[in-house]
Amino acid sequence: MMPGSAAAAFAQSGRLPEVAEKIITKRFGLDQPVEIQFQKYIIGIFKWPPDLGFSYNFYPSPVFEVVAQHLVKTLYLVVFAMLLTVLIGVSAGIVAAWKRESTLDTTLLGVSLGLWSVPYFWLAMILLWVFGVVLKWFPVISDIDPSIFAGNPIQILRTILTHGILPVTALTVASFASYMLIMRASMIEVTGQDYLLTLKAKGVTQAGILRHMVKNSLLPVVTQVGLQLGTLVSGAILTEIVFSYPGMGLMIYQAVLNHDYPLLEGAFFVIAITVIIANFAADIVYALIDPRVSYK
Amino acid sequence: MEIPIAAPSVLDTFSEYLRLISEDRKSLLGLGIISAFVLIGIFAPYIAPYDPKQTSTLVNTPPSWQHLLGTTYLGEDVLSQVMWGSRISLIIGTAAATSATMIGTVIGLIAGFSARRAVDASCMRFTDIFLIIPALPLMIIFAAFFGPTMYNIIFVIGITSWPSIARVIRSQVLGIKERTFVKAARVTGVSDVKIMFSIILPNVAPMILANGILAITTAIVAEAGLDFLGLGAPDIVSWGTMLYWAQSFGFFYGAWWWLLAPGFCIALLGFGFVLFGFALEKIANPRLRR
Repeated sequence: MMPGSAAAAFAQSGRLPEVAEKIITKRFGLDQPVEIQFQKYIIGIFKWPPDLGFSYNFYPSPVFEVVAQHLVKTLYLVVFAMLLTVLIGVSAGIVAAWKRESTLDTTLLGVSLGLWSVPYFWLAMILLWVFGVVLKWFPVISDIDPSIFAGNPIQILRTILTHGILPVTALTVASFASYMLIMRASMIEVTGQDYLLTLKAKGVTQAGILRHMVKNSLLPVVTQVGLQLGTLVSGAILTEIVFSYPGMGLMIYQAVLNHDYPLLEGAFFVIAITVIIANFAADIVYALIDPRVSYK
Repeated sequence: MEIPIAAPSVLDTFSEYLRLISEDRKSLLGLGIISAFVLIGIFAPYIAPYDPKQTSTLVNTPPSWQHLLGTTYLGEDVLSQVMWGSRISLIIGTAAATSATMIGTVIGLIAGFSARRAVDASCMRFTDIFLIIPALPLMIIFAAFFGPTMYNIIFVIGITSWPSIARVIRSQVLGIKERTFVKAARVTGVSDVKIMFSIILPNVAPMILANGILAITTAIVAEAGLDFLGLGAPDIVSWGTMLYWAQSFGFFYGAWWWLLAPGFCIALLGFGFVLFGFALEKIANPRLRR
């Protein structure tokens, strides 16, 4: 679909000598009708390891390998970021709702709303600048220091952690606001419920009441997490680019620029699977925590 | 034949909206910020101290009296670029948001109003497909495919943002559809198309407006993102392209002012929209009015 023949894209050159083009086309079955190619692709998916073709750019690495490598690194970032985001967001929401209309509440609201409007890749650049370049606290590119490969596990762990801190921070700061707002709104709604009066009458302590309120306010948060899970993998694209972090985002970006179609197909396939699994998991969790929901 | 439209007269609603907005200090502040940027954008050719693309020998200078926000690696004035950039960013943002809103509204109307479940269901499945696909990768692919011009960017952002609006409009329409005066119109034999546009549309208009305005922020950020990736038109000066150049060249020279300015503007404008959104929420959702 994109300009340029597939074989030319593979060879990374604008014009191929005819012989080379013929050989490449034959080798990769590019001359066969589209339906046959599609068929082969689908069959390839069900093998193990899934045969998704070969990446043009990383030849001879198969697509699956390339995608898997990058996926792991992205997952590391986004899982951490999501955990932190939910933790911080929910806690902030609880505090804000508990002290509603107070200066603390307004400040928290202001701060999170302000941070929410910030384009997160810009935030990433600023963080990179301040903490990486000026203060030199954290390394500025990639996810590991290649010279550590021969090092011991502790060193390897340490380098992975330090390289991850800035991207994770950028992601977290940009997204915690939505959780904070949702939790706060949810808590405020719960405040008016009757069962809280019953609890008070029973003599439950403030802390106990708070616990009950929190547990009952969590439902919309779970919904939000479910909604965002699907975008986890792609959410980090811009951040990865800023930090040159070799994850899915950077891979997709480079694949687009290099016309690496098989890699792109593989990447989107994986994203689709991730979204489906994530939504499915979210549904299950939903059914588990809300006694009113059942999937009979 | 008189079509019974139960919405209050346009003038009444308008003054109600004005009241809502002016009573809420947050929204006024937001409106102020937005207006400031709009004015800067409109009058940029007159108030910008330099031509934004005019290079000079004063490369990479930090903010000074001569160049209030410093200069780029080519000696261009950052402040002028920011002012001209607000034009482009606002234009692209508004255009993209408008297209997305139009598409979303039409689909939402059709899906919500149609008496046939099949039409509704197929519209929503179609919408869901676009909702599920992560927007950014899709935008990247489209932008790379269609080529880097301003119109393509607007188009790309438009076709990835309409689904959420369609959803919202559809649920509103479903609600309005059940009200008496709509049923009366249908029974009286008014054609479906006429009902959709003469009755339902005026009633969902506040919702459309509110969502559309909020969509502008997402569009501006999306445009900045696409430009940042180098997928935008290279010859225009927008906040996004400024970030692109700043990312490539600013870091190396330590030009923090070049990095800070455009992003801060996006953040500030976004914040303005969020604040203004408080009043917009009340317009769109009458239950929130005190």
